[in-house]
Amino acid sequence: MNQGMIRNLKYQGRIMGEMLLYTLLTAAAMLVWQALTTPLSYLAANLAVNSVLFLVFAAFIWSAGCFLAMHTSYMPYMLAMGTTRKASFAVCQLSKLGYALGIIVMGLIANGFIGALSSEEKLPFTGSIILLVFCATIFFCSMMEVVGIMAKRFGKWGMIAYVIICMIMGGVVGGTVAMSGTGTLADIAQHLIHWSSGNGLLFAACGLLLLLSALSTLLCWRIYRKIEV
Amino acid sequence: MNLNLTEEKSIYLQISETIEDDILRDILLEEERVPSTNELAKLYGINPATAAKGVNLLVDKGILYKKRGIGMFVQTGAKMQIVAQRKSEFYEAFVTRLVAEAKSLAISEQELIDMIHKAL
Amino acid sequence: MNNVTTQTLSCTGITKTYGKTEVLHGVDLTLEKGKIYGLIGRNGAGKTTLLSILTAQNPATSGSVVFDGAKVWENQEALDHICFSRELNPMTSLGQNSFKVKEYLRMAATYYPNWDNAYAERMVKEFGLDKKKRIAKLSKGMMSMVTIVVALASGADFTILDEPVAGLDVVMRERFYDLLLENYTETGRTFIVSTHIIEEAANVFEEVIIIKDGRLLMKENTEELVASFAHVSGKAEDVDAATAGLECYRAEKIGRSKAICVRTKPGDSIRKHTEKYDLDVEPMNLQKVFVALCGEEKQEAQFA
Repeated sequence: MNQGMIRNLKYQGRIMGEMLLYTLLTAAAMLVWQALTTPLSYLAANLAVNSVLFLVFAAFIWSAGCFLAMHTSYMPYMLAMGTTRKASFAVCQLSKLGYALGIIVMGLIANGFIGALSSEEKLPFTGSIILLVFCATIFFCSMMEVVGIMAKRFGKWGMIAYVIICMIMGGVVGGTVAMSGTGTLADIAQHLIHWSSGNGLLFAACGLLLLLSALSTLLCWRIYRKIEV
Repeated sequence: MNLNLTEEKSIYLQISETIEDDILRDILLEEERVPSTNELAKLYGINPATAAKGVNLLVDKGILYKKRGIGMFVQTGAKMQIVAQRKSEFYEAFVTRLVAEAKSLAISEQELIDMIHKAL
Repeated sequence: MNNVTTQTLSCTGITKTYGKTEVLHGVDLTLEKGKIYGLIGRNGAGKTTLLSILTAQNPATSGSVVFDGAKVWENQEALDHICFSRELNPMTSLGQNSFKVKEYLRMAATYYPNWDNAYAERMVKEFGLDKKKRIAKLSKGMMSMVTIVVALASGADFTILDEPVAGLDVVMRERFYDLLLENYTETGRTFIVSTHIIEEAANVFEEVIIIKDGRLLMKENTEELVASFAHVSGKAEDVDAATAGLECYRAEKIGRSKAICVRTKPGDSIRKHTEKYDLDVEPMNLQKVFVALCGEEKQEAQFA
């Protein structure tokens, strides 16, 4: 299986790397967009915060597409070309990990680098924030993986499930923003995080995210073990 | 070399017959190398095992012999051997059929002999 | 791993059920190394299903597949010796075919340990394939060419091609048989070619495997199989008398005459049975043998 793992690492590793690159480019594009549409003073004040937030947002978009495609496109072809289910699934999990770590690294760089340029209060991208971002990324990737395998196994109903999930998530985020009256996503995020890290709720949330990820991965494996290509 | 294969006969028989025909026509001379099974397979678009079967048939008959590491060669005296063999097959292959066909058309013995004289 | 010459890919008791339907019923098959096999069967006979199980791409409902003494399922070592180049589907389901040809070949290069990239490139060039094109946008013929490139360049000991000539024109088909033989004579790899275009390919197959209704009907040397069959025709009573007790297929009655396909056992010759009568005895070809064995029964034709 070692040989098989190496091949998968090579191939899926490359996909993961490409994803990180696209995420970075998207986040950068979003920053540029904001630069063009908001007063520069606001931008300067919130650059570091927004860069991290955009990064996370972009991560969700790209990981959604990628992990969805994992099971509908990539893995079936890989299986058709003679890899084992164990090796390909294991490396898929590793790539989730690698991706989450990559996002963290990029976030740190963005935060440190950009924060140094401006003088505003940056979002303390340390400790609990990092943990939250990490767990959220893992969670999101796992969710998308499940949707992907559902789509592969059960066809279009899996796709419909994905659309519904996206709508719900979008609705939740949008609703929260609207309900808070003023303020942008950045402000809300900051408030939420300051509040929850104070009383340990953050850690509980992280734990929950990881638990759900583990369960969904298990579900995925149960289906993937015997999937037909 | 006749590259057209028919459905009338097993392929390997056609291969061996073609080689024999070439020997008769001096296209392949005695003590000369015969195309290898792979070369024959490629030429005819057939499986090498089939070509090998045809070649081996001729080896068994003593028409060809194998030189280790080099290939298949035409045996000395192969031409004479083929002529003799075909002569003995001539009766079965052509004469009996001629007679059977003539009988079914009610051609008399004398008519048949006259026709043969005419043809010779 | 054993000595290379003993490698065989074999399956025993393979049964496959989809829901309530059993599509393969206890198939036992052994494929020896170093031959070109033809796999033929009607649409829906279960060829592709069997091939996907033999290559551990799909699990069997019961039965096992063994390569060189070890089970193939989830066994990377065994799978390294096998390549199943599937028919690429023109249907785009959930973006499955949004890969570019380049990407597909790159994947093949990563996953097949014996991949010969120079060979692949030569074929891509010869076939005039546009590597930047998406698979879903290729013509059926081009898709077949891609599967051929992957199969041949994979360098796998046991290589399976499923309908490799679908959509190819006759010139390209002949080129394929040439390439196949060329590669086979050079490497001695085992090839299994599943095809509907039987007669063209018949000369290339050392052995032919016939699947009928989810069962293995036979696995025989092509030439011996075809030689054992004959097409006998003439007056109906004479035909019946001559073929009494023999394995017969596809009887056709036209007025007073009757035609039938007869199979004789090894050592027996059809002429021994027919020489007493005035009958036409014609040899058959693989395609006709296949139709005789797997075709539907013919209707009786009557003339007023």
